[in-house]
Amino acid sequence: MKRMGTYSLAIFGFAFAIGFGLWAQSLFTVSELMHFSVNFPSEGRAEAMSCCNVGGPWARDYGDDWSDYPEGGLLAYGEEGALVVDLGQQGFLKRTLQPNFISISSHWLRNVGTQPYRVRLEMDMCDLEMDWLTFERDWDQASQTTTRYIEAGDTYNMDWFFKLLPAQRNQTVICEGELRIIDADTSTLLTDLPVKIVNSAVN
Amino acid sequence: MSLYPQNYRTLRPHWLRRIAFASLGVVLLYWPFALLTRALLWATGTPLLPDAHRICMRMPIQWLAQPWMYGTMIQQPLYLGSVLVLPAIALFVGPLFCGWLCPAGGITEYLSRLVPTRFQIDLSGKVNPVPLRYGFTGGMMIASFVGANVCCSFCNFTYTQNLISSIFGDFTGIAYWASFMIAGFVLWFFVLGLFTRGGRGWCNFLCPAGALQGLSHSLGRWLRIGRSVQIDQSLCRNCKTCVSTCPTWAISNKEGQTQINVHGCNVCMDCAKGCEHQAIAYKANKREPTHVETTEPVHA
Repeated sequence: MKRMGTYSLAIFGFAFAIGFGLWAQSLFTVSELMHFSVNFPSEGRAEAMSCCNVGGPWARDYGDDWSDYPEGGLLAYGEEGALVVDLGQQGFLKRTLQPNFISISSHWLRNVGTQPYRVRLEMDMCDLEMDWLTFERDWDQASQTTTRYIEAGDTYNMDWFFKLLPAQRNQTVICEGELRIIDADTSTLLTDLPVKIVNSAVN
Repeated sequence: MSLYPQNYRTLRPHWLRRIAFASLGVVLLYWPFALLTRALLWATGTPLLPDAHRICMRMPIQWLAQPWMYGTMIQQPLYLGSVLVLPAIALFVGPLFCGWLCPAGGITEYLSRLVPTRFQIDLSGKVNPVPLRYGFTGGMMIASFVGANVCCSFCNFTYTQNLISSIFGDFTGIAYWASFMIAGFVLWFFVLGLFTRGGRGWCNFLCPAGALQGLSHSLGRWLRIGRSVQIDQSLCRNCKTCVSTCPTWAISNKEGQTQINVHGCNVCMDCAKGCEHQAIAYKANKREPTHVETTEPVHA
């Protein structure tokens, strides 16, 4: 009986982890604290090329045929398309306590090219109140430019925090914006990612 | 109703020492101080800003189930803390980090002492936390294979960093919490923290870093290397003071014998300091034990 109790507790702990993790992931991928990756450069193809999904390089199984980071324009992880934040799918706690504080995060602005880049980031988001935050040391917020070169294969981190007004929230489409990654030395557009904030709960 | 254990006066200087060490943990690992993290970032040439995330205690444990990530851990040695450094320390001297340095565990334990016990859940002797903690750790390790996310969405180190940041005027972390973080915070800080006896409910049930160290500590005990907290049965008077004092519910008294569950002990030494009969000591594992220890479920 004692052994049964021990196994039952272990199974409960295991199931709790998986259950909680699935719930968290269901919110991560559609509405809350969304994490995404962007590859650059896209070799002149300024088109949607990234994903909205949690995880990162560690969540990717390289597979047998994986040899290196792909050429620009291909995905390193996740699904191709625009990043869509749907406030209508916020969890109960977020919707109740902090419904208008929206954040998106990319730990993986990844240089998939063959040369180092110093990049400027532009987040064009309909004049929403917005803060930038990074855990990178080499960042100049005034010019929104990295102060180091991102080596080929290397990544850069950036988080964006939006604060909506209640009136802004009550729209089906709150903002159709865009993240642009630009070569700071030549001002060439390396890639861009459509970023949409919508509210499917508004009829 | 007693606000503190009966041996409060005896334990007070010891608790103050432990609080000082937990504060040192904040200074070493948490923004805006993060002195150890800064030193390691500088030493490894990592161009990142220091906070509790840089020495992540959770992702590397998840990566143990992902062999393709081993190279990343070797290339970025800051990731080796929870999977190599702390277990190696625990093998020889026990989970000292958990009992003394960890601010995330310490903050709930010390604050829980301010909550009257009549408002607290007392699970000591009712639930054996060890298998649940190992089960949770296993679940966290394979979560990503089934499309789940646990290690980042359910992280009490993040909650602690957010709390400390807010003390220093940065409320960004708290203001932008997601639903799962709010739920995790309530569980960590209130349900399993302030309102659970010992204040270490999260550590006991849900901390993978603690689980790994507990496993390593038990291995050291089994191999008879290093040191552990041990009970001298010839001196023990079965007063059960240690049972009520232990914040991790690792001590039980069964059939007249006091036992320590080595998987759950975090070497905080509250039991040894509170024992009026000097029956508990932190001793080398090499000797033939004069104590009884157990890896079985704890039942008072």
